[in-house]
Amino acid sequence: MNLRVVLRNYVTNPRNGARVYEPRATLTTATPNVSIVRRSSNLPDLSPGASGTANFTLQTLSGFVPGTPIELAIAVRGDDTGTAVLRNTLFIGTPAPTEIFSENFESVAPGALPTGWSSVHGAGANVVPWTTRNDFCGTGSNGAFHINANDGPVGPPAGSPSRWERLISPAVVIPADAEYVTLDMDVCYDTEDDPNFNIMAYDGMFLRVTDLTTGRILRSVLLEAFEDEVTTGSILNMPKHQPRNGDRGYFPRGDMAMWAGYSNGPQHVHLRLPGMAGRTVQLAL
Amino acid sequence: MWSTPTINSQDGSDIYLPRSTNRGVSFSSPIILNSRPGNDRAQWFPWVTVDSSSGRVWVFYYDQGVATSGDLTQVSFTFSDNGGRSWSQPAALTDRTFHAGWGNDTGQPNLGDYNEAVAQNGEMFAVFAQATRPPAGFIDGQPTSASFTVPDVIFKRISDKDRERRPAPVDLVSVNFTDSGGTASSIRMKG
Repeated sequence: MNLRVVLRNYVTNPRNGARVYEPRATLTTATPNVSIVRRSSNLPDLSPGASGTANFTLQTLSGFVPGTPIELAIAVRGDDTGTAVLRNTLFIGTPAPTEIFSENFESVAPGALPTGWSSVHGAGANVVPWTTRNDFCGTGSNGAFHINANDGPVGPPAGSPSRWERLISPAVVIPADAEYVTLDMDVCYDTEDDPNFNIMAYDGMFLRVTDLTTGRILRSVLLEAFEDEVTTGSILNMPKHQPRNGDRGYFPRGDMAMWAGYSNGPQHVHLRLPGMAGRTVQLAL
Repeated sequence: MWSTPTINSQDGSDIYLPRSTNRGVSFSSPIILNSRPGNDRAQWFPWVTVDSSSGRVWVFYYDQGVATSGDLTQVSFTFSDNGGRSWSQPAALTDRTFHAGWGNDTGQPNLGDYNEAVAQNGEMFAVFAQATRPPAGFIDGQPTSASFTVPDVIFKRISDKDRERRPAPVDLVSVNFTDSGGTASSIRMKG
């Protein structure tokens, strides 16, 4: 296995940025049954902000279990610097996927939810349920939809204008031998964010996974708490963060990642979720 | 010292530090301590402490400059030996990057709740909250608890001697591999 690692001199602050001369990278791993064939790589000098590529070669031995994540430690040292050790987990393998659940919302007319799906009011003065529509985001296909509605009471003492509406999926049984779960979907959103602080948003969508497994504690867990990988279009994770908020209309106190702001059309979301084998779960958007 | 966003930028926030040489009667214009001011996403929750034996000023903070999007995070630190006029290149205080959202099971993360540091006799002693990949994934904490087992409180001890040869200011941009069968696979940095 050939490994290509791009390294960067990350300091461009004019107060202390400096060139790294003759950087040399050395790879080690603590993962059993992995041998490193080419362990060192020389890079060109790295000016502040510049990147360079280090190349290594790994080999898995006969006792290696396919799909086992490989832990990497890359030690980088310059001619006039000490050593920085950079650690990374390499997810490998070619799993055989089994589709266990799918929903495209095309089996129902706009305005209806498919069998097994439900809209559940979480908090807020008025109820505005999830539904389906085929006239948003320019796709022409039917999809789950929630509309903006500025119809709540405004501020104390009248109450909170915030609202929390959930879209709950049918229960899904994860096979006991599932190494991990992947979930792919398209999202499209246009919600209130902060024009002056572009990572912050006040309205948006998040995903929780509820554990319905018999004999286990019933709990709903935010996606970000346990994900191995989340991508939204070309970015990692979700694009915005909701501020911490004591408003009872917020779930439950905010402070979490969300799909929010303006998506500029549909964006593909890909999730890799570990630790779900044998569980019965629901998705709660 | 404070962390504040740069209006209308992609940066998130930077770490600002002003100096006072008259016991706080007045302060200088602040300088920015993090690696790429205005261009390295969010740095926040800074902590400052001074070693009374050497005068070295230490600062540490959360730092998402390690990726161009998402919640990949490290704890970074820097120090000054001349009363804050100049600062060392920021370096990682954590052993590896982590996802800030790990363990945020119900929207109540704990990052920042436990941050503190003291410095004495040439050493900095820092504590902070750091998330790790939940060991059991989705079922972490079960069957005995409804809560996840991460993040943890981390203690770090760094001496002046450790800093005599600064670590190379280099981070990971991407890791890609090609297997021996010739099938190209690609991943982005996951920490």
